[in-house]
Amino acid sequence: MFPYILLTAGFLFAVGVLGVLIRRNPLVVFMSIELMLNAVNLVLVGYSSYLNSEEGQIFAFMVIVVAAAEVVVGLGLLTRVFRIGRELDVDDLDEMQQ
Amino acid sequence: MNPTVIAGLSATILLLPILGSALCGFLGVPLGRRFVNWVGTVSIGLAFAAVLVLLALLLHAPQGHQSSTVVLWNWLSLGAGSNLGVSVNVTVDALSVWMLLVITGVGFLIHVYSVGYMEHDPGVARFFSYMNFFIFAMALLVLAANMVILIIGWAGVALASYLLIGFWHDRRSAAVAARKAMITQVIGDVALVLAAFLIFVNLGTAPYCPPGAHCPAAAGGAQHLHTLNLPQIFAHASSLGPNSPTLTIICILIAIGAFAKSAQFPLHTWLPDAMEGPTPVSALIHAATMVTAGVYLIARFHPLFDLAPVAAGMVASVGMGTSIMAGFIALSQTDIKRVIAYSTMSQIGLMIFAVGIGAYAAGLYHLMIHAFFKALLFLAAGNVIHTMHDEQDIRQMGGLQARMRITAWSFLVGSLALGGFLFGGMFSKEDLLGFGTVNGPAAPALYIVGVAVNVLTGLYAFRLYGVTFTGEPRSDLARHAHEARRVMLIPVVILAALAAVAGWVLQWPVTIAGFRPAFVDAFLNPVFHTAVSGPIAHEPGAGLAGIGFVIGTGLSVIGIAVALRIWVRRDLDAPAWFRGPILGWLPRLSFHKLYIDELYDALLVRPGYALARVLRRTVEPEVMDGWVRGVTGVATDFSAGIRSVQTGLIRDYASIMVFFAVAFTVALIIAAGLVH
Repeated sequence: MFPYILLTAGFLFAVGVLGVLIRRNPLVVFMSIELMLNAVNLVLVGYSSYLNSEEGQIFAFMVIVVAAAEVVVGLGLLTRVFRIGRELDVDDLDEMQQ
Repeated sequence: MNPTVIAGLSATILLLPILGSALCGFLGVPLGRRFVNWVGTVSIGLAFAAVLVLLALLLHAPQGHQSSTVVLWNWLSLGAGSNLGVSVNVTVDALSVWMLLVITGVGFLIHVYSVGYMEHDPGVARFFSYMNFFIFAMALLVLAANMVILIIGWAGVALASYLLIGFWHDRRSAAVAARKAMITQVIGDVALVLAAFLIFVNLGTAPYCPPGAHCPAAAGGAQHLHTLNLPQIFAHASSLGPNSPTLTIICILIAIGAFAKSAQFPLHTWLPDAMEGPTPVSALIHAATMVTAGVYLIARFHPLFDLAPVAAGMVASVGMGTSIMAGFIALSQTDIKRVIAYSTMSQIGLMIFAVGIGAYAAGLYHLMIHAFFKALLFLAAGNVIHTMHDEQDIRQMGGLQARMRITAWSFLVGSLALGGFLFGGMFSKEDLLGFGTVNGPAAPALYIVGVAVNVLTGLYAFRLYGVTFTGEPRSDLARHAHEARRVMLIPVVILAALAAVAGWVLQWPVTIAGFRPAFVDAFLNPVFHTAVSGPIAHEPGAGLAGIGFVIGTGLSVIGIAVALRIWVRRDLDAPAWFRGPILGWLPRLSFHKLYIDELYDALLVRPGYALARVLRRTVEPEVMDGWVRGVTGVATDFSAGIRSVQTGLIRDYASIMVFFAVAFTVALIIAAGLVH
């Protein structure tokens, strides 16, 4: 059972990475990041059950809280970008280099 | 003499002027002109009163106790066990009191005069602040019994001189003159500091047994003294032995310091330019006191000079050489203050000559008499300049005698004292020249130059008087000249009285009908006898002194008489002799000050500018900027390479992150595989 959990988590993580690297819509990029975080959560919970220890589950909760906070900030930024009339496209938002 | 009283009086003499300087400087502008006039003069007057008390104490001190060195406080103390330290200590003896009398006495009269001279100047608070500071620094210089303190005073008077020459700093010529004076002074300061180092190494660290302590006879048992206190240095002076090369070098360095301060060749060019300052400044600093500090310095270091006859002979020769050179230049200058400035240089040359041949008391006697008549001449010239609305060219003057009677009479007294007939200079100048007959290198040689200087002195002194005060006025300003205010006349008259009387009552060079006052010798000579020193000047015999006096005064009178015929009665056209092609170069040489300024310009200033230009145009942009630009270039190129990675695209950053995360993971797996 346990190896399948790890394989699923690895697959989810790879999908998330590809999503971040390939997709241009920041909302989808966010969803991909969430996917990677949840892949990690899955690993944590899987190991928790495998090692019969509750520490992994506690870490998973921590990750969920941090992810929620990060999404708040990220979506806030995106709404601001949308408000000032910019197209929501990560390739277009390259002012960071200045 | 009670050390506490001495310390208290010395501290008073030092504190009053510096207090006056601070009050005028900080409160003078808000509190106004009256406050400044009172504070600035009263501080010096009270200091003069304190000096008079010191003089009375000194005159009543028992024989052998006429020198007192007191420690005001320990300033620097380095290392508990050793004696290495600098204390602020002062020496009160006949020499320092003599100088203080001139500094505060003549200084007070000049301060009173300044009240009138500066009445229309908006910077009067600054002026009195600087003047009081000068008196403080000069008093510190003559009271100092430690070489460090002496150098502080020495530099302080140079600073005051710089500030006052450049007092009218919006005039470019004044600013340049101040800078020139400062640079020349600094050459002397450096020489003096080097002398202090050499003294510290060679004399200041001699084995020393403190009084009351038990020291074994072996040198190793004695403590080593690390000091720059002058009494201890002088006590050790003989440890180097006579004619020691070290001592000669020390004395030459001290002499260079003295030459820079006293405007002696080759460091003399700053003094005529210093006349850019207000006239009271010229009277106080550049005639009566600061420029004579070199004479004081050599007299103070006489235990060293007595043991270094080569250096002393050099001093005497330079002094006499400067004297005749300056007398020659003074003959053809046309600025009233510059003529007096060159005459100052010439007279100080005589004093330097006197201290160089060991006739210290005679040199200091002339110093005081010179302070009287030269301050008088400058202040009287100041009256003339004041009424002529700052015109200083004597060719624009003439006929002022009828318009400014008191000033003209005082100037005549000063000219006679300077020329050496009837008043002041006749006594002091012949006194020191008399010593020249039997002392100094190649004994009577410098004396013969000295009597030639007498002729020149008579000539230029009465040329100045004749051209300025007699004949017809040569400009409207001179026609409308009027006598100065009373506050400017009283100091002039007092100084005229001093110049006229001092010589008669203080000391004569010859015995006349069995009578000869010699108060100066009696007062000053103990200072120069008590040191462990070699020979000081031999007194010329009575007959020789008499002959010397007659010759010297006779030549002075000849100079004066010729000048009177040329420039007052105008029945002798001597200048015509020098208009021909054969002798025509002489007046030109004199008028252009022997071309020494031009020489320095060609030898020092222009090469300096040329070097600076080469450095500016070639070395700095090519060499210095070159390697700086190289270093910045490397950094710029490197960062330009790095910068291309930063595209601003989230995708690129994420790719790099993923790439390295994967690379790290793979490396970790390989490393883990290698371990197993």
